[in-house]
Amino acid sequence: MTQFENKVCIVTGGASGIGAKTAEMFVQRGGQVVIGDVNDEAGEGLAAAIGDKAVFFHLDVSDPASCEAAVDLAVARFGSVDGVVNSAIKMAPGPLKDLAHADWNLVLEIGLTGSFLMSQAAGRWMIDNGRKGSIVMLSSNGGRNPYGMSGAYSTTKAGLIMLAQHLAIEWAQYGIRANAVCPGHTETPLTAYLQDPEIKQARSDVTPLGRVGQPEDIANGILFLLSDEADYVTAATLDIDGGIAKSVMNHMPGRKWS
Amino acid sequence: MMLEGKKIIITGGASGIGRASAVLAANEGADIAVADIDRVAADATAELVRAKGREALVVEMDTSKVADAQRMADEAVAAFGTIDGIVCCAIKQKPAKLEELSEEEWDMVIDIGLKGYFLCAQAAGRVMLERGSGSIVFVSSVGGVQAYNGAGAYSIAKAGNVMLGNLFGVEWGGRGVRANTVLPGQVPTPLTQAMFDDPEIAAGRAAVVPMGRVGQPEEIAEACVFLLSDRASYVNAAMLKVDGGQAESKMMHTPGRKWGGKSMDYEAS
Repeated sequence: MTQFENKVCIVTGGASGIGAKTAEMFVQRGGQVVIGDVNDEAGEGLAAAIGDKAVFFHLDVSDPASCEAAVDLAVARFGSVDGVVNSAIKMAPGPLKDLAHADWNLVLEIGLTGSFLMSQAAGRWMIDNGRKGSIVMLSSNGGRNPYGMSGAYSTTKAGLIMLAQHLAIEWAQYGIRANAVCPGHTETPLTAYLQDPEIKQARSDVTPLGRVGQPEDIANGILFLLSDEADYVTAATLDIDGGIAKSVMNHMPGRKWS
Repeated sequence: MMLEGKKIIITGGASGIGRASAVLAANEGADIAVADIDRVAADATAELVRAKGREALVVEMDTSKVADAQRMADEAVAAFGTIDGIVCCAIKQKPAKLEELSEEEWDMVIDIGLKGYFLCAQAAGRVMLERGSGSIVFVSSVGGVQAYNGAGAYSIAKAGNVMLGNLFGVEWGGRGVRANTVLPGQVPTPLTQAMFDDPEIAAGRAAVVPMGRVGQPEEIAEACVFLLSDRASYVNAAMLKVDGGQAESKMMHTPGRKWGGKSMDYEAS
């Protein structure tokens, strides 16, 4: 029996980056996936490449009706919803002094409110149908340490950690688990700046493990949390960052004690 | 005055943050027992306390020895009649790479920097429990929440300080004895002076702190005095960073900020 046999997962932001890799690996390990994204071309292309165990859905996570429709599709096509991966996010970086109200709202609406709406829609189905489930939030190192100049990003990512914990304690009684992962610097389309070899090298150098992360590094952690192997893991936060979250003291110049 | 008439013990009170806390507490009306292994420097702190018009007692001791910790409490009670609070900051450094760190070096830092906190807080705390009031303050470090590479057992001891403070706070809070932890960032003291004497290091360390400067012992002492005082009457099992924002600054040290094609520069904000 494969890890995700008879399991169905909805992945938001599933057309690219960590979401896409998670969708792909979920199917590789025996599951079926609904790829939700606003990027139709990339999403349809990915679903076609994965095959009949994947279906693309034009998902706007900021719209409750769209989230409900994604659940309906998962149930109609594959028979259930057992997992949700909330990785949809938009970036609107800028210094807080100048950050536009619209930029603030955009990031919170997609990243935080959208994760709530998608989780709520899937969770209602799980609860109403007596199904256990697992919800994973894509937070970030930036959810634990403020990411200067990132606009509402760090605040959104911090909110996702609490949202996972909050869902976890409210829905544990239904057998629904919820957890957050915190990637460090990871090479995805969202982080196109890592294509700059100087930046990539520099970011690798400041990471204790000496390299930036790849989408499969993060997907491996997400899939663990989705799987029955994590049956007793809920309200947890998993750093997948090469150790960088604990490396502030690496940046202290000078060691001349004694 | 925030500490009018209170009787406070300060371990590691001979220098640095301990001395600054002794002087500030005296300035706020407290009588001070300066507990330290360095008699000469402790006497100098005591003179600074007396210069504030307060009583001072020097307890020459090794904080890692239970008999010394008991004597510390006994002498404070004998001199002042009671104990209202204790600040623990005695520590010794033994930096080394983990692959080279010896058992003796590990033990020394843990004995003084962690076990010593327990022994001294326990001895002074028993007196405070009898009265049903008191405040324990542990000086930890940002190195207690961020691994301080090359520092040997230091980060472990400092992380332990936080949990020990929480534990005292949880066990004793209901009996009127509060316990809290202060986490200083980069602070020039005799312990760190050799490092800060190098102008390049001093400038470099200032630059990596969001506030753009290192802290002063007096700024850490302010936090200790607050936590000792009745103004912190509902603060228990808490940790207070006094570090100019350094512990949360990890993302500041991430090179390359070209999101959305915009160059992101802290100086521009």
